Amino acid sequence: MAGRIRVRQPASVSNVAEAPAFAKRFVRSIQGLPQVRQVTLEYAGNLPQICTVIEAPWPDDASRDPIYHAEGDLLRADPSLEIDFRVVNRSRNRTRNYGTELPDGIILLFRR
Amino acid sequence: MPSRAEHIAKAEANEQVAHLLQAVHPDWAVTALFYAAVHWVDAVLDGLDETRVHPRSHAQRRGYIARRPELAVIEADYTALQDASVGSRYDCEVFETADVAHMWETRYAAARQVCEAIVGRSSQGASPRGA
Repeated sequence: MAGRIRVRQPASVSNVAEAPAFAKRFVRSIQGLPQVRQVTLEYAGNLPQICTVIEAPWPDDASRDPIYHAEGDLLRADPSLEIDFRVVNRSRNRTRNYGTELPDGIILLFRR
Repeated sequence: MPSRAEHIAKAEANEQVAHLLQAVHPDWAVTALFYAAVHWVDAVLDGLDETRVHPRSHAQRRGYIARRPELAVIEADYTALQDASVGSRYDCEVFETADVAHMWETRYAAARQVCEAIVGRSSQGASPRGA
């Protein structure tokens, strides 16, 4: 992985206030989109995974695209970032649409 | 590392698999289509600006797509295919034949067209390699 560093996992992150700056920046960039219902962060080893849950009728291309562009903007803003992103439409896929109790290791960044 | 020609051959083979699966197993057709896109991107990265980039993970590949202006234009189409593949395989997200057709005609076709144009452009006058 020469020339590219992954983000070091915080020792303990229990809420959004302690989330890394890049995650907060990403949330700020998409939280105004009405289709965005939830954004979470978790780690697979040292690799951050940001999952955005949307609600939109299918086909949902127009609802997904601004989020994909925001993901790209985040990556372009910091060449050292390596992030695994996902966008899930909860009208088709409810696996990441968490309730009030989050699974261990999941950091809730935003919910509407 | 595979050559550009090998990546293109694999992309076209995966596309054929997607075609074969589309009517009977559309869930897997989505994944075959995504991996066709992966190989189109890798074909572009192998030789762009005379470099030979071979991403070792999806996250790393996504970074290259975002940061290379030539590829950034397909970031939404490529990532939609990736999300569909992951959703189908891990989350049992349902994809019907019509869904695959939609993704093929919109997301995949757009990504392939861009990659094919880049590969065609940058291959002009280049010597063959990877034999």
